[in-house]
Amino acid sequence: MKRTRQEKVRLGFLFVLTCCFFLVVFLRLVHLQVLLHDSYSEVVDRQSGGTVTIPSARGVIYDRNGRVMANNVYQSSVYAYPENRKELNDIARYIEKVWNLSPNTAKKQFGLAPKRFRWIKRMIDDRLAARIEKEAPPGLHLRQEAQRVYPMGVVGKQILGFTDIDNRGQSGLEYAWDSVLAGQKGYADIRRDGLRRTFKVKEKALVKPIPGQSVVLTLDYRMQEIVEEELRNAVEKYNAKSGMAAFIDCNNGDILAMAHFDPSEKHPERPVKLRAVTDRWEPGSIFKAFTAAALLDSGLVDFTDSTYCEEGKWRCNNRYLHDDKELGWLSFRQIMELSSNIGVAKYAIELGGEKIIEAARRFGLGEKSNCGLPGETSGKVTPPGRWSEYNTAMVAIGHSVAVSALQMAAAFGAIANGGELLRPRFILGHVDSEGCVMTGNRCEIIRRTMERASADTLRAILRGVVQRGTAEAANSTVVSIAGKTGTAQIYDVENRRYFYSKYMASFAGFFPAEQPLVAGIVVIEKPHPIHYGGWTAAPAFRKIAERYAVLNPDLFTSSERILAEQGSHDEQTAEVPNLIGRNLTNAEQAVFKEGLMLRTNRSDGLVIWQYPQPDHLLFAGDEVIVVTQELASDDVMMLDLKGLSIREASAFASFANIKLEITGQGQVVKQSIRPGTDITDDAVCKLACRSI
Amino acid sequence: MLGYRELDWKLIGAVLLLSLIGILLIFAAQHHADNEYVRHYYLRQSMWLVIALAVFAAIIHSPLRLFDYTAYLLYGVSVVLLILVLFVGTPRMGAMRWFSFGPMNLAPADIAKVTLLFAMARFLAYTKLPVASKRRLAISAMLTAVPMMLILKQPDLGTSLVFPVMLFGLWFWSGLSPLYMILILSPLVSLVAASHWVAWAIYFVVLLTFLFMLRPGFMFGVVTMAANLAFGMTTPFIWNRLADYQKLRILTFLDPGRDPRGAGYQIIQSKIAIGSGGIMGKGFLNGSQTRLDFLPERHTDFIFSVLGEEFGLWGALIVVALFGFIFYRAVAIASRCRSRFASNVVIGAALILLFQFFINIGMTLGFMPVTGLALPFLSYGGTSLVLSWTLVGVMVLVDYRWQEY
Repeated sequence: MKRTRQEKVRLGFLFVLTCCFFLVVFLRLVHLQVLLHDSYSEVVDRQSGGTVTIPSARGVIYDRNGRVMANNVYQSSVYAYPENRKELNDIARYIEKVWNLSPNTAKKQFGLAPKRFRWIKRMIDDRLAARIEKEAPPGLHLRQEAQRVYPMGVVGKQILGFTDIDNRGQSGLEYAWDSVLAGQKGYADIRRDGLRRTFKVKEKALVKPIPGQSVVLTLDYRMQEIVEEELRNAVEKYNAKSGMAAFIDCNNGDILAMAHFDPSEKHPERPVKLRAVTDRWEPGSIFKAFTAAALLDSGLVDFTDSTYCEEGKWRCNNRYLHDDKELGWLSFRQIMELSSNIGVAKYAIELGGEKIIEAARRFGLGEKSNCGLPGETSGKVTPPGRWSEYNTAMVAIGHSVAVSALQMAAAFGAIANGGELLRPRFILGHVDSEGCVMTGNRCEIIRRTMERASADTLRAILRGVVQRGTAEAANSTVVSIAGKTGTAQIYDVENRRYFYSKYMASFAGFFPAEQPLVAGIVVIEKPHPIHYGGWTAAPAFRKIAERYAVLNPDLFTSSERILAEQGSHDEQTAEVPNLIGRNLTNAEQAVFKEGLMLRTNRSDGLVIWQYPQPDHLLFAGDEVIVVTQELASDDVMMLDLKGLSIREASAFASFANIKLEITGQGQVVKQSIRPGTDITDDAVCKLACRSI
Repeated sequence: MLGYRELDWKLIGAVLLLSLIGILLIFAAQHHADNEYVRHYYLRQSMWLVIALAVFAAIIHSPLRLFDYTAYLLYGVSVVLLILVLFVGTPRMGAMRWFSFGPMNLAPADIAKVTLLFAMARFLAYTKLPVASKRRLAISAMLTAVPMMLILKQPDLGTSLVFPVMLFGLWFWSGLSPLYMILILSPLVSLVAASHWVAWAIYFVVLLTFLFMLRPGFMFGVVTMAANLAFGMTTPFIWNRLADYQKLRILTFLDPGRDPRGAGYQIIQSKIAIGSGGIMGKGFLNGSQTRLDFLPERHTDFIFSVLGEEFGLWGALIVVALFGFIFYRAVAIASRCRSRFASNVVIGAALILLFQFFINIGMTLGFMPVTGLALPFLSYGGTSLVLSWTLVGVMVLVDYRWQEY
């Protein structure tokens, strides 16, 4: 069929018209997708985008030995998000059933409404969660939430602090180190659909949460436990209002334990503050140690210099200074041992109050230690408005100045280590998410406080305080303790004078006296009726020191250790060879060659443990204790402990994981687990000891 | 015997490609749906494609005359179906549009499009009446009006719009003077323009200028003007007669922002989807508008928005180009074939497909009102797919037998 011209026109018209349409479509597509692309993309982000925070796992807190002190557990929380009325009613009925609420109350109680998020119950137990997961009506959901747990219970809880339900630190370490522990929240790119339902778009985490760093504390959990127990015992025994204590490693400033105990505290596991750091108090006689340091440094006194102590009462600037006892002529050493106010005051007046203040400042009193714990007090060590003799005397015996327990522990640490004030530290290091220790917190020397020679003299004096002086109750047969007692009257702020019968009883010191490892302080507030520091705080200090020494026998091989450190090798000493891994015959030969004896738990096998450790010095004829084990066996056979010292016995017990119950002192004469039997888990061995 | 080599494989390939893209998009559209049944729509569409291909194969193997001779019979059957569906159809979304056979749904309106095409093509090809005679126009208008009214009764405004378009197109194609077209069409424009008196006034100025330039004769001008005036004045009455949702659609078309969360929601979200797709698109299954339920009716009416979002400008242009190619082939076939009936059928088929294409895409791009017309070959819907393939089948058949009278 031949097309007419008219038909061709019509075809052309149709063609042009259609092309126009296509052009419109094309232009519109370009308009929307190229020109308006950015603004429409924004609209998409706005209407469908959004972020939810992904909580980051909170860091774990370890003690210095790697024990977990704070960790996370994940628990389910229930929330409701009903889509509509019907779901809402189902949810309400279900909630009433599960939590035994009276009918028709749930809706009101939880404020349920369609398309509204409501918490129903947070942190429910796992069984309930499993049940709800199985039978929950639509709109009732579970969400996993992290909760902080403290596996050590209340031990150290004062320092650790606590977190709120949203896992934010609220007090103590959790608060102070929140930024480190908390990590960084992640943000997930969530998508909301047209019905405002939230989609979890898992693969689209914009910012991954960075888990918090784990923190290794300098705290020793066992020491902390001991300190808390003994502090509690002391406060209860001496009828005191409260007590606090701090112990640090005097060679590096590590805070080993810190605690306070106040029976009137409502929530002992959630204290508002850490009193050993935040509270300041007048130290009283323990301050005399720093007066003594200033005197020794100045060369004004020496060990034997003597002064008249005025028989207990001395008029000074029209006011009286008192001693507890009527003392006559005493050497400086005796003055310190008996804690004579008058004696110290006389020397102090000679030296001048400013020098004493300076010395105290050098010891870190009156300044914050910046150890990283919240609410730290700087204490108060300032010169009085006017230096009179009486004022000088008062400063010298520890009044009109104020300190915190931690400052005192650190300052006594300085005396103990030969005069270097170390910054008390609380954090040994951080552990990142891969388990690597990130920054080992360095031991920091703040300054030299006194000359080494003076420090040695002062240590000897303080040892005398325990051996012969006011702190005789702190004298221990297990570990040698040195220190100074304090019995300070408490200042009555209202009446602007000192209370007559309210005292802060304290004992600050260090142990072992010859080669100090640990310095610390125990403060008992208002003990009654016995109020002397020497009779309240000192015994508590002794118990703490003894228990710590028993726990760490390696650290306290007293005489032998000192012998080795002094390097005075004498013919009668022998070095302990390394026996680990040898078979018994071989070990015996090595030991006999050194002139030592061997004690073992079996008659064959390989040596897996020895005491003392290699390179220690022993006197010839002394025993080396080894534990041997059969190959391919995990069992440890009980050792014959008879004739061993408590320290040696406890070394074995700590290796074999036995709990000891010791009665008496001296050498072991009886043991409840027979030698040669296999040791079970959690075995308890009763030891009877007698001094020979 | 059919010579397969001589078939229009390019056209078949283009249409097949469109159908496969459609299945891909239906998969994308419902991939993220909560409802598992809905997620498997693409499988059902694939099954429908198989049926459509079978129908297509049957059509290209049949003689062209078959459709010519049976045109009125088929027309009658489809009218009966349209009546039946009003009584025994399955009500859905407030309309009686479908027969349900188990999982399959049959929309007689889609069938009526094709059968009317055959009937109109036959009538206009063989009638001896003069092109502009009133009887010729009246009969063809009646042929169109019957199924259209029945479809309006369902109600389905969108589908019913296809019928007058086809009518005018075939009138035009079979030689009706453009003047008559103006006479017939202008009152309808007047109807719309009269919604605002300023628009109406401007429209009349344009109309008068147009008539003055064409000089059709005095009587013709008067009648046209009278019809325009009359229709314009009935606008308020018709407006009041419209169902609420229809009013809303018109108002929303004029200003989608007047109710962004309600009536304007679909258009706005569709524009957002396409616009945010950009040039390269967000990638297959990555369309946030699609997967997050912002896009309404995304496997049916708004399938093009899914395409625009996930495949961007280039994806959209490919589909547009494929439709362009179908139209180009249709014009080529229509201008080549010797049978009047055949050329009417081809042009009518192309008009049906293109009209739906423009209305649908115009809707998703926000320059046409929301009418509920599906996009041929792409939108989910079995009957629509089969009937669209039927139209293509007829085109291919006509092309193959272009020499037949």
